This record gives sequence, C-alpha cells and structure tokens, in this order.
Amino acid sequence: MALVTSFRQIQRNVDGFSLRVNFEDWIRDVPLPPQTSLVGFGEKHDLFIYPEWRFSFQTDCTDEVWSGTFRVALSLTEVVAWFQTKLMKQGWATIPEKTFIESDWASLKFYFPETTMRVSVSLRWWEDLKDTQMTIWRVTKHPLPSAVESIPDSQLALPIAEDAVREGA
Amino acid sequence: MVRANKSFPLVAILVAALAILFPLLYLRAPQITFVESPQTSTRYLADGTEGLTKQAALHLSKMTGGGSVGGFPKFEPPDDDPKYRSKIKSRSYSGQDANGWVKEINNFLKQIVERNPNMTLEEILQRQRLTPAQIDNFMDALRQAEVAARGMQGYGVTEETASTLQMIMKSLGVIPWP
Repeated sequence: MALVTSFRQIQRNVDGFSLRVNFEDWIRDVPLPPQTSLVGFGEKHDLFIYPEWRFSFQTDCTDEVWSGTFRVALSLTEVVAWFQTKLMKQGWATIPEKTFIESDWASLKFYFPETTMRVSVSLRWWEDLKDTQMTIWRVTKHPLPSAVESIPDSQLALPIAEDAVREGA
Repeated sequence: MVRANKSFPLVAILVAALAILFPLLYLRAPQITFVESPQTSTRYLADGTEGLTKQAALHLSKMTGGGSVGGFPKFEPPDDDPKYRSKIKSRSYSGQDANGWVKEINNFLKQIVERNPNMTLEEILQRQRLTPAQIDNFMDALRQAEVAARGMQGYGVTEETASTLQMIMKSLGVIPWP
C-alpha cells in the first residue's frame, strides 16, 4: 500500500473515485527513467496531467490503479530497454505474449509473481519533440472478503443486545 | 454370363461417371457449405463499422502525435497550417481541442456500439482482421485518450465528454487499464 503526503484533487468516476497526486508521490516499485517529467499539453506545455490513484469497485473485487502520463528525452529503444532491465531487477516478470515493440510505439506488460499486481507500460515516440511519452498503469486486484470474514469479531456476539437483555432482567 | 456381359458397359459407364463426378462433387462441397469462422470474418459486422472504426482511429491519431493507431491511416495535419500542425506533432493541443476530438471519438464509437450490440471492441477489431499488436495499439490509444480526457477535465474537457467515453468503453468491454 502506497501512502501520499498530499493530494491535489478528488475525482468521482462512474465506478469509484480517484485521487490526483503529485509527481513526487508516484509509486516507488515502478520507477521511472532519470529525467522523466510530467507531460505538458497546451501551447506553452503548461497543462499537466497529474498521476492518479484510483479505486474502482467491481462485483468481485476492488481494483486499485495507479496511472500516469510522463515524458523523457530518450529514444523509444532506450526506454524499452530501461524498463525491461529495471523492472526485472525490481522483481517484476514480463508477459512476452502481451508485449509488442514496433518502430514508433511499444506496449510492455509485467506481473509481480504470487501477487495480483501487474504493470502496463505504453510508449510512443514523438519525432518532432524527440521524446518518448509513457503512460503507465499499475493495477492491483483486491478480492472482496467473504461475508463471514468481513464481520469483525466484536460484532459477532452482539454485545449491545446482550447488555440490553441483562439490564431488562 | 450373357446377361452379365450385356450389362457390363452400363456398369463401366456408371463407375467411370462416378470416378469423374466424385472428386468434383467432393472438392466442390466445402466451397458450397463452408461458413467462415466469426473470429476471422468481416461479414458479421454491421454495415459501416469499418469506416466508423477508421474514423475513430484517425481522431485517436491526433492525440498520439499523428501516429498510426491500430494500423489504420494516420492523421497528417496540413503543411500550410503550422499552428494546427504543432498541436498534433508537438503535443500543444489544448483541453478544448481534446474535448472536441474525444467527442468525435465518442460519436464514432457510439455508432459502432449501436450497430453491433453485445460485441466487444476486441471482437470488432478481430473481425476486421487486425493483428494482436494492432488491437493492443488501438485499445491502448483509447485508454490513453481516456486518461487525457479525465486529466484535462475542468481544463477544457467537460465532465460529460469524459464520462461518455468511460461509458462507451464499458459497453465495448474495454476496461480503462490494460
């Protein structure tokens, strides 16, 4: 579980909510290449999309999703090699059948063994800007506890009701 | 014996006819009864779906530097409009631009949903014979547009535009993360 020092905004979504966080609060277990920054849009490139920490309520689980859009002044090949090396060192395993590397875009997929965590890295080379744009998602599935497990022990004995019976007697 | 000898030419003709016709009928049969698998056929898609997909890809291309999306033709901004070219090629588009493009994407995808009920986007793209890499690329471009739309909400992208895209993606079985 990651903790953030502060957040910029709470957003409601169709199936949950999300927090917009600062660049500095990006998760440590999915590192970014050196010199990475937020992508800036608009004429002055001053419209930033901040990373998002999102909770999405599904019927059988809650999805916790970290996502962010970043840029780095490295070639697509360099960025692909960086992620493949760095994430493997961090314990992530690649999913070869879902990994695609083309001349101007790439899609890399990783999972963390024995957990429900996976990471998707979507890369695109911007020729005019000479940078690579990275959109990254880290998804963790939190299964719903069973009905019995979800009731705290203190509530199973119904102590308030018992007290009421005793007081009445 | 005499009777057998008289019927011999008839039997021989029948055998010869069968020998000629059997391979012809046998080889023709698959062509007559063969039905293409839904996974590889385009005939099960509603009319106009391919054109709508191409248009959606063209608008997604605007948000990816004018690169090809899903193997469809890329968007090439006009050379005589440097400001517009910069919006596309240098990522200098505004929230209002993104709102307009996402609205167009919503419009095309909505028509695809209406014409092909109960089909996922992945199935629709498979039936257009896109490769797994092209399908992945198309879906990723759509997810990136969703990330951009929600990130620019309040900065030119309206809540309606962003939430409509989310709902259409849900109808098409596209979860917002890969």
